[in-house]
Amino acid sequence: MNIREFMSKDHKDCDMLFAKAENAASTGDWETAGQACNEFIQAMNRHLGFEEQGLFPAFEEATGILTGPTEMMRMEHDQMRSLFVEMNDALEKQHSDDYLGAAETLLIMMQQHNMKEEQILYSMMDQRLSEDASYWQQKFNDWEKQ
Amino acid sequence: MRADLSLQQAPPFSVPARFLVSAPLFGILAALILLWNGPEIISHRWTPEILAVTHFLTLGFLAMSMLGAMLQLLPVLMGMIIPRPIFFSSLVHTPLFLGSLILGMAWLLQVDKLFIIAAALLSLSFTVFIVVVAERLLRSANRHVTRSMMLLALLALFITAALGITLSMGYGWQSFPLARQLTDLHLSWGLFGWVLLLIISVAYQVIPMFQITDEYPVLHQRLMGWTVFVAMLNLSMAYLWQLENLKTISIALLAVCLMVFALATLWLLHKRRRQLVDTTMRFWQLAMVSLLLLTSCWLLTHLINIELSIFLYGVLMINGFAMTTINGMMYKIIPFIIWLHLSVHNKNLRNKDKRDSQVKVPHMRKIIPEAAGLWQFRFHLVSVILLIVATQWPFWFFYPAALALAASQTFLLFNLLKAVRFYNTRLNELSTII
Repeated sequence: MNIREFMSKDHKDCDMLFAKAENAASTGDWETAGQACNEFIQAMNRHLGFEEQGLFPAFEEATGILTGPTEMMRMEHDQMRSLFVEMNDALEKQHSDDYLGAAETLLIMMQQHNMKEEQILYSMMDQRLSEDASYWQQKFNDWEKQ
Repeated sequence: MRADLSLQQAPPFSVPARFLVSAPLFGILAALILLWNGPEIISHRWTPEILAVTHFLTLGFLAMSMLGAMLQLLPVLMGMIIPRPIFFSSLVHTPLFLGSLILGMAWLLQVDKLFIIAAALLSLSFTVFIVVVAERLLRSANRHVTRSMMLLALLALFITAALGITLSMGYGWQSFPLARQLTDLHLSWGLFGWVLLLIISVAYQVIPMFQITDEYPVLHQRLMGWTVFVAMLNLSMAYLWQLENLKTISIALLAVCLMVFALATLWLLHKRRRQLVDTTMRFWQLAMVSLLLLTSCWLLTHLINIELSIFLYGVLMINGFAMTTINGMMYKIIPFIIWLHLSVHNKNLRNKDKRDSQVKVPHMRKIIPEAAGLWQFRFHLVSVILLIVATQWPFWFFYPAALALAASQTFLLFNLLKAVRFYNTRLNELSTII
């Protein structure tokens, strides 16, 4: 699998966790929602952290582009993180409309962000990074252990 | 390489907003003309009043909102940037708004010169839009099937507009022949070329993303756009050279495409990972059911030879399918871009170390509450059902249908304007801090 394939697959895995949490919150099952949302945010933080500390610096070094797409992606990561905080607040208060509203906003933010990465940025990484994809995949698999 | 790095954020808020807020104004206008004129305007096929109503809906509501939504979605879906977006969107929006209005007035007031003015304004709007967007799409590095389908949709828009302008010249100038035989071609390219292709191309991306479903089957995605386009080319030949068999085959092929798309979409939605039924999802379901009804009616008329009103097809395609889809999409686009723009302004404050002054950015359900969207959906559903039955029994249902359309469009306008006002208020709060 190249970078685009394994990172896109991780996007899909995160989507599933998102849906699980949202489904539970929409039926008022706050215990399941809490666990699933926690799992989702952990998986997202792992994904975002790997990009920000692993893939993006390597891309910036390989291309010399510091203020281009990676800067924009970092900014969008921050926007997503602010929504994680809102979702957690709503979970604590068991406020269904606030949870579902923040989650819906995150879903659109996250999907349009993923699309830019999947359709443009990851392919550029596959072309430009000096290490091959298996190196990055291994690094990603080990990431949670760090 | 630099051209491929177009990962910029959305265009300024006013760019899509001006188009999306204008759309229900034309919906209301169409309903008022129906109410003013009464059921006799559907007593035969093309009365001037019904032509005005149809164009308020297709140009004023559909083209208006579709161009606006494209300007918002293209940077995200296709990674492309429109240069000088505010200038460009004014150059498209203003003549489209005025041209649609004047075209309707030309029929209602029976003033020939207005047809010429409308044709000039609409030519300007569509030419600017098609040339700039097609050029950007052709240069886009994106190779998703959506790109080629959008290009086909733009080509269909060009054909529709060219035919429409030829027809309006016939109305406007005595010496220019009125080519009424082009009417069917004009409406077919508009509804089954431009509208259908664009909605399908967007559905391929937004349904899997926002409802968390599987992708549409690869073969379906690859074949659909071209099949619809080839069917439309065949249909054009059939109209131009009066080939009845080719006409039936082309319409059958289109009907199969509509049915396959509608069933595939309903199936994906049925198997979606998100179990939450949001308002946009209800709009998608209603739109797909309308497409299935449309194809079923067409089949019925051919198999058991019953006569159905031509207006039934129009209502199912324009109100049931196209307006429904767009109405649903508005409830995702408007609240999300408001959130996006406000959160960017908030970030600017953070960068200026004014962390204490930040305004809490409200999530989407605070911008347009779920209940407001859901109730407007119910009004819209009632209007579609009443319009369908009104095409068969106008004596009983014409006025209730027109009233329901007016109510649903007013409700939509109210929801959108409330969201825009909310945005302006929050932006003012932020601006005074900055």
